[in-house]
Amino acid sequence: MKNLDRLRRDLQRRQLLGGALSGLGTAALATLLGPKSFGAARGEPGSNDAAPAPHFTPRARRAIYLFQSGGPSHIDLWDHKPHWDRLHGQPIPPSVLGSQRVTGMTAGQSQFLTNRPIRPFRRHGDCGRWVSELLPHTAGVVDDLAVLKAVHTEAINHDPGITLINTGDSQVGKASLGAWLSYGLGSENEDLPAYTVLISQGNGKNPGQPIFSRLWGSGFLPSEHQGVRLRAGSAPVMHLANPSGVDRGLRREQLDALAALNGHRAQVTGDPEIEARVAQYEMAFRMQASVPGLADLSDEPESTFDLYGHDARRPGTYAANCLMARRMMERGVRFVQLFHRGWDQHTDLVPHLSAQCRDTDRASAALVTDLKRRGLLDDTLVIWGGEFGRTAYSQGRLDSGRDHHGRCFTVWMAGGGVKGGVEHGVTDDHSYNVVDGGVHVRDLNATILHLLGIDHERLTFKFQGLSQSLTGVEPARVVREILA
Amino acid sequence: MLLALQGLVCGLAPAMYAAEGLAEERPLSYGRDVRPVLSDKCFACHGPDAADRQADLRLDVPVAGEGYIGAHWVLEPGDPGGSDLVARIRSEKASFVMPPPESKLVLTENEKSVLEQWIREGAVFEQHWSFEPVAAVEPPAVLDEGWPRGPIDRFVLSRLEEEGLAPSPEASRRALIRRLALDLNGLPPEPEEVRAFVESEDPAAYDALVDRLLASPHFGERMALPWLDAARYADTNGFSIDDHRDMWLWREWVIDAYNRNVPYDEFVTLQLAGDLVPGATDETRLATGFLRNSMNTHEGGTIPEEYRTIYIADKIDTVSTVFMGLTMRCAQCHDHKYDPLSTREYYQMYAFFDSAHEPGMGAVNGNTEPLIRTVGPITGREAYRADVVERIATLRRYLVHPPELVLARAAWAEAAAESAEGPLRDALLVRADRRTDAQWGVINAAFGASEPLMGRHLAAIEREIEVLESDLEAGGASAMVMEEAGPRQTFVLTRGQYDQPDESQPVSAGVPAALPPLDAEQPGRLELARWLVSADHPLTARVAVNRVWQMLTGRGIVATLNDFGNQGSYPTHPELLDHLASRFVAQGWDVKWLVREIVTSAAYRQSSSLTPALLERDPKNELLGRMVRRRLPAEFVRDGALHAAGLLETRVGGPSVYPVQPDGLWREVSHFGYPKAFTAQSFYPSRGADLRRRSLYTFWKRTSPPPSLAAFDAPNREVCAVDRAVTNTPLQALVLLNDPEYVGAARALAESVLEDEAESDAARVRALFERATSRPPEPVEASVLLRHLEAARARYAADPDAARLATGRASVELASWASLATVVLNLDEAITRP
Repeated sequence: MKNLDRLRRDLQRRQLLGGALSGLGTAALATLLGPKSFGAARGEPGSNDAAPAPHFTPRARRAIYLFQSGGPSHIDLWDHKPHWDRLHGQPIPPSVLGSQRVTGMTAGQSQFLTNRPIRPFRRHGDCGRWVSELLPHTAGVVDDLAVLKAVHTEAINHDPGITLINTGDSQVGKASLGAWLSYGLGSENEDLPAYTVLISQGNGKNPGQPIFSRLWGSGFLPSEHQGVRLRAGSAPVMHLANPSGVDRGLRREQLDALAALNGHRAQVTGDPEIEARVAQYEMAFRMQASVPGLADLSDEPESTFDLYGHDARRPGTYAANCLMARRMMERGVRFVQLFHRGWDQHTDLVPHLSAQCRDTDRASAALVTDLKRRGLLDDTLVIWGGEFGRTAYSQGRLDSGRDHHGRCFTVWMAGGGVKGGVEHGVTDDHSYNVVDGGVHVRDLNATILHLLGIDHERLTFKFQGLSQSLTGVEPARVVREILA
Repeated sequence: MLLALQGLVCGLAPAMYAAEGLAEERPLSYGRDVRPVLSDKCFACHGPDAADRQADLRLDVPVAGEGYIGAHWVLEPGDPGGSDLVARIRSEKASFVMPPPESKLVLTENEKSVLEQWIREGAVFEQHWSFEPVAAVEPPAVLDEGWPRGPIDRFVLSRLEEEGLAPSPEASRRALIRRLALDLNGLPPEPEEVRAFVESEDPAAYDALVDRLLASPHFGERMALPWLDAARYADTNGFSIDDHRDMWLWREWVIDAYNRNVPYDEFVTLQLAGDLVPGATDETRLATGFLRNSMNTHEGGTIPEEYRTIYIADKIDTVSTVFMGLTMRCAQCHDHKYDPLSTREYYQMYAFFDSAHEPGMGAVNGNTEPLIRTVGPITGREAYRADVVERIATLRRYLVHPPELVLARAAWAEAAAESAEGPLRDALLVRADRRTDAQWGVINAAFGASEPLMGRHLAAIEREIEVLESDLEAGGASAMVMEEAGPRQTFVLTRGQYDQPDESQPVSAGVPAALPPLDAEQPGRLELARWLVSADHPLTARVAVNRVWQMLTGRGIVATLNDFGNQGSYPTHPELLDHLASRFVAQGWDVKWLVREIVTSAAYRQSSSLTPALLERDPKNELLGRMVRRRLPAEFVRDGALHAAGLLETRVGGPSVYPVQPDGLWREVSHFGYPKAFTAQSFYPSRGADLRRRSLYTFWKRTSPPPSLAAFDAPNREVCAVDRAVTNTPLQALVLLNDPEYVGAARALAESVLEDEAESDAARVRALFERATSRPPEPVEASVLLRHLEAARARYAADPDAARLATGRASVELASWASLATVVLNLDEAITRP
């Protein structure tokens, strides 16, 4: 509808200018059709006419979500307790376990023995944050992080959990956070999508739990808002490269012929959608020029790789994806989401969790540092976290592994609008239940939207008779305590 | 006429009417104008949901009832000024105004005026239109008696005349045949067919064409496509591991049912209760696969009852949306906010499915019981065996040459040849195209030692083969079906939680009170189905007719295909909808009759040309004063390109196929590499003709749908979808320009016009253009294309290597024509229904 209005406006404007359709060059057409939009919806699903967002001045203009798929252990990484050694090997008291449900994997266990963190914690930064030795680099940037230690979710298994945190509902069919951001805020550049997704597999648990296109899908929103999955290598967008034997010069000639023919047809039929298509082809042509540059790291100085680690030279690694994320921030991509797999340590806790940390710690910290050095951190939000945490009790024998735990886990945020060097939320002695400052995943999502200038109650889309929103019908609260 | 209209548009900015309507001075209608405002802005707190009701006030009913007061308490019919409701909506005091600021709902000035006018006119309430019985409406009189071809046209024209508008002229015969072929078969017409139709002077030619297209086996494929979306058909289980399932037999049942023109009431009944109909057979049971298309899981920590609940909720969602246009899901946790559907009624519906046997923990690598093994209505036992044997042979080749690793292995072999010893050295010394499988085995083992993907692929391929072989041994394909497990007491689940049955609220199977009663002692799925298709059900026929109308005209009479409730759109032509619905039922729910009735109307035959004035006056074509151009659904975009190139393999039915997609898409997100090796974790393309089948046979992995179809708005088939968005993105351009399938189609199209060496460039351009667009190019278009041909020739002549790269042959001509074919296949027109 919005697009239709725009097209009608354009059509009128063209009449005012007195220009026939075919009299306009393709570049002019593209301009008319709005260079800041990536894709154009034609459907008119319900009355979704209101200009969606932002609703107020955003603190962050763009965001990177470092999604750690599988459920990183908050016990081993972030939620320090002074008395772990004393509790180690002791059963977790029933009063702590409560009556809440556990997964089918440990429900039959005869006892739930406390398992202390696999490595010691130390204090770091001016803020004195406790961080595990497993995260030496992240420990170096804690003064930039707001650490949410009492995030919680109802989900106890991966599929519902990862679907809930990414789409606001464990039942499938909803739109993802990124799709909402694309829908609400649009794109800030003309040759890259508003929302891109990068996937990597860690060395901890390989293969990690599966992930799904619904996690970056558009659900009921027009499909132009779905995340565009970028691939490792020099042509990260699918079908970006011209086929063999077609160079850029010939492609340009093809597109010119196409534009002339489509333009003629637009004149014959009067259908403005044809002009929109011409503009999309021009955008595709620009992407072909700009996207390989995005993936070509040869313009990065050696210091970049000193910072991110040499994994960043290997396409498809978490480190390379972090670097790609920064490069996309520089190019005005609205939202980049990394999915790093392998955080599901039911077994082999010590070697596998250590490996996950080795894969990710340095680059995560590097990204924060790098954005800061470039002056981008002020208006770029960075989020790190998974779909849930892990149990304080061991699954099987001690130090073997941990089951899923949704009743509290840790997420950190940094950058645009977030206070650095703070933590929020307190868990009990077993890091099992929230004591204070609980943040439901919908509060987390409301906070992310807020930082990007969006009121989570007002960014809605009518579908199946309801004003759908990312945070759903239950009330959600912006975590104001961590706002700068 | 149009000139006059243009003047009108320039002179006056048309005021937007209340909710959605277009007329400025039509009398107010409660259903069209008033209730949408009340529903959207008031019912959340003053509607059917008792739990969240404020001040015990309901605005969806006029008078008080048990525990609530009605709207007439706060309004004075005939006197807006004396009505509390108006005082509240007009108030400027934050503590007094309605809706309250914290609700974030705002009434527009227009909406306030509508409410005032409604009160002034007496504040009359009506039942929501879609719950009223379908009326057998007679077509109205029209001024221009010459235009209507049938009853549909009288409804359309009468409305246009009311608005002072005239219909568009009839589309050209070329446009008509292309439109019909794409709408009825999902494939463009052959150029010879177009010529014959254009030249025919037989007045019956149009009807004969319609009959021919309705009789084509491709009609069933075309109709099946939206049904597969609605029924969330897929080839994988969906949740978590997302391994494969076998439901293609059900897909085949759907295609065949449309082709046999199974009446819609039977079509519905069999899909809901084919296991319970008298004299049930494997074929009727197969139809119930509709309900088993729900996603399922076998994720490790799953609590089975939680997921059994999810599968039932999905069935209710699908059944209520597809057959009734109701959004019942809302009532799973609380009374519906807008429609008369209580939570209790939701669980009465739930009880219909609760008694079925369906394990919460699904099976691994295939179908979960209950299932049947049977043959397809199209693909017989022998054809099925041949398909499986062929697939196994393909996979066995991949055991020797894993498709993703062929290049990497070649590079490794070259390097390894220097230092290899023993059998490996012997094997590497043989030319690659002369090596035996045994020699490849030696090479693969050595290569696999340095490339972990190798072993993983071999394990995955072995698993795929093993599953197929076990199907062969079992004597046929299986499909999941419905089966009763015996009575089970259903309870209302508190807030929809599987583990919180409210034992004070036992329920038995039943239907919502706002709909006609279901007269049966202990109704089950069969009675539910029969109730849905009973003559007095107000929704089933309307919803079905509306969906077919939308498929053929681009827009539903009710624009919200999935919502006929209070929050849905009001019909643009309510009388037409009822007329069609009542006649559809009277005709014995005859689907081909319905399609024929619509496509033979003058309304359907209108031109889709637009003028700025028409666009301004009626941007959404709500008045049907024209037909609309519509980009084809994803599947038909691809089918069309293969068809133009002469590559399309038109076999109907059969197991799913694996056309080429970029390497690694599945395994990057899947559980590929897990030692137990699940199915459908890594993609192994088909060979031969299966690469060129119609796209509705493409294997559908829910967590990673076919990317080039997803780019053109195909839904992911996780949940019921009755409408597709039509977007326009640069990613679509990249698919059509660069996807190897389309590049191959362009090359094949070029080859086909080069076959006859005597042809002139102009004749070839014409033939090529016609294959993609169903019409010859205009001179100006031909000259653009010929210019492009010359430019391409000049480039390829200067760079013969590029020509070889483009075509695999040293042919400047072929490469140049392929470039031209790329341009033509990328035309907006090539992917658009005119």
